[in-house]
Amino acid sequence: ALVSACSFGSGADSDGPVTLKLAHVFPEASAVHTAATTLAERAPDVTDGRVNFDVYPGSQLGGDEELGAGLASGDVECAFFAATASGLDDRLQLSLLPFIATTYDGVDEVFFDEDGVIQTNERDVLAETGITALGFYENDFRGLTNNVRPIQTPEDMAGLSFRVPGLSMYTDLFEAWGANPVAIPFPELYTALQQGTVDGQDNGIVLTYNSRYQEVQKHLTLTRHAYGMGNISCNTDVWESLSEDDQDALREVIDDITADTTQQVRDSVADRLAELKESGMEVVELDDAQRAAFAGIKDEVWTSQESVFGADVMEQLREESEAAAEATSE
Amino acid sequence: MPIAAFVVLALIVLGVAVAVAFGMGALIFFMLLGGNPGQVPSVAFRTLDSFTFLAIPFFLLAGAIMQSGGVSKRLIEFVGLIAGRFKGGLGATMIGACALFGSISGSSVATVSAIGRIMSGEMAERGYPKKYLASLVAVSGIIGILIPPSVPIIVYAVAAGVSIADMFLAGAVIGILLTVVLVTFNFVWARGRDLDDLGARLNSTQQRRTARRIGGAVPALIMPVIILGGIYSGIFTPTESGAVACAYGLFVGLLVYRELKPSGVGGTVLNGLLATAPILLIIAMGGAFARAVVVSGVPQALADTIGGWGVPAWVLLIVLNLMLFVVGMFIEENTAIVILVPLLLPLTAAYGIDPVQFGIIMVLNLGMGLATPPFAPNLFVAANATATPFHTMVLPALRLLVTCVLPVLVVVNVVPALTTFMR
Amino acid sequence: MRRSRASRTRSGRARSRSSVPTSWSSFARSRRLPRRPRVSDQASRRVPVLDAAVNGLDRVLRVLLTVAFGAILVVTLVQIAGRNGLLSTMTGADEIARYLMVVTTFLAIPVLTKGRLHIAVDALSHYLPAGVPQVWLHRVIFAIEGAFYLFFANFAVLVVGNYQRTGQTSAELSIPLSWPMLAIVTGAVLGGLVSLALLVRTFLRAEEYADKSRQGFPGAERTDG
Ligand code: NA
Ligand code: NA
Repeated sequence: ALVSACSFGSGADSDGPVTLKLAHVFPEASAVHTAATTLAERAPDVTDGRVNFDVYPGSQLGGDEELGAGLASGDVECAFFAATASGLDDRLQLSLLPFIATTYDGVDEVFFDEDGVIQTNERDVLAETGITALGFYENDFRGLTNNVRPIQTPEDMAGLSFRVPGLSMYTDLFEAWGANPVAIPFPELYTALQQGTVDGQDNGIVLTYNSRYQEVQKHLTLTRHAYGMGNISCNTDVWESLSEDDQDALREVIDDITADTTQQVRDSVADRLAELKESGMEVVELDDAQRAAFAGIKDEVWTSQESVFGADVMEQLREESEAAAEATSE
Repeated sequence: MPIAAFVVLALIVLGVAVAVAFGMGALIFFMLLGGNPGQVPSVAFRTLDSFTFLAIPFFLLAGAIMQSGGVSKRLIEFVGLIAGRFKGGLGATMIGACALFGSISGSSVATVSAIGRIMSGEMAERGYPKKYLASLVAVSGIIGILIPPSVPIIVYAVAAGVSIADMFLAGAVIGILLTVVLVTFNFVWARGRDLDDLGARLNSTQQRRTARRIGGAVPALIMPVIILGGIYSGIFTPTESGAVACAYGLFVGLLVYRELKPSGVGGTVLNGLLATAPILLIIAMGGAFARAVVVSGVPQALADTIGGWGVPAWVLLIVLNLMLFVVGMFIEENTAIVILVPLLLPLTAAYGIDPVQFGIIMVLNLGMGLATPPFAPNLFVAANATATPFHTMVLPALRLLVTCVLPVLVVVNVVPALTTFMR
Repeated sequence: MRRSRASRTRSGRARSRSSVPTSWSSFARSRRLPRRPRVSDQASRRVPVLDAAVNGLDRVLRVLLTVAFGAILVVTLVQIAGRNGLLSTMTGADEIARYLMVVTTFLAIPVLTKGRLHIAVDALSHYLPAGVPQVWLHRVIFAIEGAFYLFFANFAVLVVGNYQRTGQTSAELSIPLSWPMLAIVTGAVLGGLVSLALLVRTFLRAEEYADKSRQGFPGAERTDG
């Protein structure tokens, strides 16, 4: 590492107790923040006070892109972050491919299999940039909100403009559905939805609720067209400066915490959905046949992304995705 | 923290560029903390790498284009028809224009620049002291972040988990209240002063001439209509509207009024950039300084200390207001909100203070901070836009803050219903 | 009556023009409408190589900055047009605009330094006696600013290295983040060199400099009011 945390003595290379920064982008009232504070509470207990965390919530140390750079350089020692949005490597967007799995059971099979292609891919790619991924947790399925009409079929999307993340797989996806994907910078999205600059957006229930889009959006369709997975990572130099005992103890805590976080996010989805309905949103919950109509473009989009992720990885993901779909439909 | 803050202040007093003072403060701060000072450039880069900051170059350039293209001149002639009926009318118009512009832009700095540039020349000619009109526009710029759309209010609402719509409504109420207070102050101030607002009221010959020229003012007058209409009909976002204002200003200046020559476009664009870059540099370096403040843990320690006192709610509010005011002296508003909401909201919640009310308290305090050095973008921009020496504005601006904004802040603190009526 | 009002207006206008104190430019460095320096702003006896280098760099950067700033505008307008169906949609327009904003801000440092267009408080300079104390104040300011830019550039180089090592790119157009960072390095290095050149300049033809410094920073650009 050209600039490692050690060069300016963040403390990680000494034998005394270390205090590591632990950052994330979510507000206080979020499952991830609960996870971060839990880790900060339990870390000194399981390491006899040798490892401590200071939690920095709400993008205080930057968004996912800046956290990625900070983790790689060691300026941010540890973080809960979405590697997909870090810009560190295009291959990190693998887990964003549409319709990898659309049920919690399916997700558990594909995304939370430690030896599965998704986690392996993310761990390996992050390792190349000097980041050690220690655990994975859920960030909610994506959905569609808009202000024009309830969307039951892809045909209902024709002519509507949606703000989507500016990744080719997303613009391809929405164009395949006949919608008009447009770019709106995230800080202006609320006002843009309010004024009708754009008809809709495609974040999930939790982020829609956190960003208060229910105040300016009428319809929500639970397409589950993609799944959000986050990870907790540390700078590799910092992590390896800890003793093996401490690493093991922390890994154990992190396993607990990430499992809890995933469960909490799933639990909170029901509450958030109820609150979205209460604030006047009309929710379309798709049945399997309806969802299949949306998923019809899956092969087309996946094929177009083969050059990014490589044929082997895509083939493995196809197998895992299909196996999970079969196993969970029985 | 005190040493780093002292370095910033000392360098600024010495006359070093404000951006360099903040950058140097950040370097020293990180070294004192045992952190990596090498992150100063990357944090400065990330701070500036934000679409909403584009409003600043856009509207500063729009102001320059409107001035060299003859749009400003015609807007002012038109304003004179109405504002010239009262003594103090131009001052009141300036405040009203800031409120109107505030409903376009989520950026206070953009408001100050555009209105300051358009109106200051005429006001100075009519006897308004420069330091008065410059500090008036700097303080009126605060209205821009109260009246929706407002980026700081969205940032607060998302961080605090409250309704953006409720916050917008409360912000609009307080923004209008602040407008009324400032206008009232301006009229009281104008009494007994040798102002020539009435000189803008035209005699019959001039009226006839102006009536003929009203037609010529139409392209200038529809500029605000295009911008506001474009935002509210959803054609472009508030930040993008700045680019549209530039394009329309170029069109009118080049092709309608023909006061702008094609060969002069490059110079105008460069002038806009050279007026913008110093402000953006301060924002970038100020961001690095703010990051050091976050990492230092000082805000956390302060919040813990205050929370431990167990004082009555009104004492807590006074302390928090003071703390917010001091933070606003050094740190950009959105950054300050992101830092402070997680620290202070649990505290205010425990005291039963409504988060919408506290949000407006926060935005108003940090808005005052836009006009308090060392981090005082509104003053810097007003000095630039009105060609007024910066250091002559500091005290008049403080006087306006104390006589106009402080009373509004007190009312917001004392009367929760003013900001929570919709809840 | 009419005439007197009109004439008062005219004379008021004339008065306000001429009453822009010649001294204000010596303490207000936040100005509107910066313009190219006049010949008279420059020290009359030139130091050929140094002046030519600084002026040449300044001219090149001004062209570059104008083009880049124009591009920010065009790119944003294209994005609006694209969203409203006038042109084909373009992803990443806001990325280009953001990075160009960062790039122009930092590449402007040498131009701001040469024209003394920075935002700074010159109260001290205003109250300090002209001559030697004034000149030494300028030297201290140039030295501090120059040193800062070079420190900053040094750290920014390390950041470029980090970005290159990780290969981090922007989300939409996959623009390597090391590119805008490299522009930041360039701006800071050139800003440091110009500051040092101006510092050296205060020692060459020192008497002349002291004389010129009575009206503020020699070579500082000012508005015409
Ligand atoms: Na506003
Ligand atoms: Na301030």
